[in-house]
Amino acid sequence: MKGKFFRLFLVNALIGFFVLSLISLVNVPMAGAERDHLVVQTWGGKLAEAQEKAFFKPFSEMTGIKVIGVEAGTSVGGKLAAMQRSKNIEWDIITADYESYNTKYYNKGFLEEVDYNVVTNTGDLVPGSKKVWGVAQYLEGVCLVYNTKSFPEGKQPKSYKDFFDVKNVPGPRAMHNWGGPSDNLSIALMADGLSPDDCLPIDFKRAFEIMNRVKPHIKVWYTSGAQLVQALLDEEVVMAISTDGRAKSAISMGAPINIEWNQSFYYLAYNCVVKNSPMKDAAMKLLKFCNRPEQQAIFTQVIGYTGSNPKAVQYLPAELQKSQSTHPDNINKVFNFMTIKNAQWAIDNVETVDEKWNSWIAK
Amino acid sequence: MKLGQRESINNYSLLQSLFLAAPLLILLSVFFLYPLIALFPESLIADGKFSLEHYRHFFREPLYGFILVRTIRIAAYVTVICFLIGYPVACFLASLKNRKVSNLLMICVLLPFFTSILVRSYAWIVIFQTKGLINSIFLTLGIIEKPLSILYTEMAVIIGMVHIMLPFMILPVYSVLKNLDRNLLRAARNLGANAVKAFLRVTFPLSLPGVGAGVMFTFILSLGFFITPALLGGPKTLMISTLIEQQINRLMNWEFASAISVILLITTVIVVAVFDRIVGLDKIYKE
Repeated sequence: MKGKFFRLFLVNALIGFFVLSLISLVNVPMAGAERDHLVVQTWGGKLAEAQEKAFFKPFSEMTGIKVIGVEAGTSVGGKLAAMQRSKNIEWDIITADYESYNTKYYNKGFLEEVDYNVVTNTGDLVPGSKKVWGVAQYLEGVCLVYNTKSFPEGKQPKSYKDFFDVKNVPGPRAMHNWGGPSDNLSIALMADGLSPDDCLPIDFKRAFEIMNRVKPHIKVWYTSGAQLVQALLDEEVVMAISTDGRAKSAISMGAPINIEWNQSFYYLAYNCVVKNSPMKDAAMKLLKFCNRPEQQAIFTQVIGYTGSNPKAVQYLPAELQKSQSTHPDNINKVFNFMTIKNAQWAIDNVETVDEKWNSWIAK
Repeated sequence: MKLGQRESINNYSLLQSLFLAAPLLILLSVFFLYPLIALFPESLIADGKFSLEHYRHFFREPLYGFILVRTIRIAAYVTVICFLIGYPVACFLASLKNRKVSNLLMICVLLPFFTSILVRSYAWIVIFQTKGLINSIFLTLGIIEKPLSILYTEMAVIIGMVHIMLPFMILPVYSVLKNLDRNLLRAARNLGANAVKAFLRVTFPLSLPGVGAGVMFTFILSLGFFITPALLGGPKTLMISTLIEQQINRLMNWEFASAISVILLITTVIVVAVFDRIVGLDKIYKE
């Protein structure tokens, strides 16, 4: 009797396959949804709250067009692809995504081109804000943070070099292990003395050699911002490559840490209009509205992220102005990772870099 | 047993049986089988035309085979541990004479089903972390001097997964043991077998269908685990479902994601077939 179950299983599977192949020949197209309101994909939580308060609600009051924010989790790319395939466009705008992803979405035909005849107020935004597929909304910085108890005045790490120097600057560290590890590898190369413009295309052999030095000392490979904040609060790590937003929220929750702005860089998060959106015109108007400095100042006060318009800084309360990377004192210390030399290489080679990174880190 | 089974089948005609099963069959076909089958053609496309490139890529890059083997290994550990913990529990539950007590304990077994996997995984983070429950207890008792690193290790992932999978092992074993003819055991004891021998020669072999079902459930479900390894594990516990998710959501390479899924599916089918050869899965539905 042994093996019978499997034979039965195979027979059933074959029948199922045949029947379903027949069903799949009948393709029912979905009707394009008609809407009178805008649907904006958000990342939920505090970020969505900030967008609601700074942009969505005031925009509705001004234009009479309702704006609904929906949370997408992490599956933005998958959802966008599914929407175009099924011709059922559920979102009009996607927010807070980075250049490499957006370029990919655009190349795959998921995004509309921005109508700069409508979005006319981009002149003040930071460099790299104006793209064919979207307009920058805010900056997310990547910086070195350290525990002030472990590193008292005078012994504090000053650059990425110290992060990789496990001999002289000991202690457990944290680094991200989410997608797009080009920045981690570039940080390693910067620690080895390269200037940002010389990092790309990445010399994998050299970068991983430097990463190997620090690998046993990386205690937390965080895959979410919350995980990093927890590790900083618990003082599980004494040093981390962090985003400035998460560092600021850890500080506000009482973590004894400092941000080192030296060598820090930022990515721009963009608003983009989804291809074939039934509310395309209204979506473009919202994109324009989101560039207003006074609205961006409200946004920063809720979430802490710095807006793409440096003029927003002057609308902020005095105590918040200094910690913005677009503040006149900081803006020359930080750089846009996507405007360094050969930045396009990082976009075009996401898959290769991911694969090499995964192979390295899995062992 | 055989006679009884035949009778119950004959109560319904083929048409009636089909009618009764129709809602389930339709649901499974539309929401499970169709998407599953649609994966195959998807995985055979590269740059818009037919190609085996994605499969070649899977086997050329050592990463994927390595992760697949690791996934199977972790699933096997979880299955073995679930069996070692779950079997005695099922035995104990089945042997209880007091209905109230056994019902209460059964609820305890089922209770984890009432909370989402996400919440339970976060609960484990609270327990495992450096300043978490385990470390603070051990530190206060003086058993350890430095906090243990449990979180983000393979051990944390396996503990978290075992916790989720245990009911899938206990329930089928329990249902078989509960329906076991107690007279067989009495006869064995009567004929001179001691408790251990009676268990090994009578109870255990007769409980194998339940064990087979439990092992299958646990192993197959463990192969596709996603949330728990992502939350409790680190880079050393990366499992194949995480790679599939990366391809779908981040890299938007649906074709390659389909190819990995197909390979995972084939691996699962092979495991089931091998298992069937060794144990004979027809026992599961015969009993």
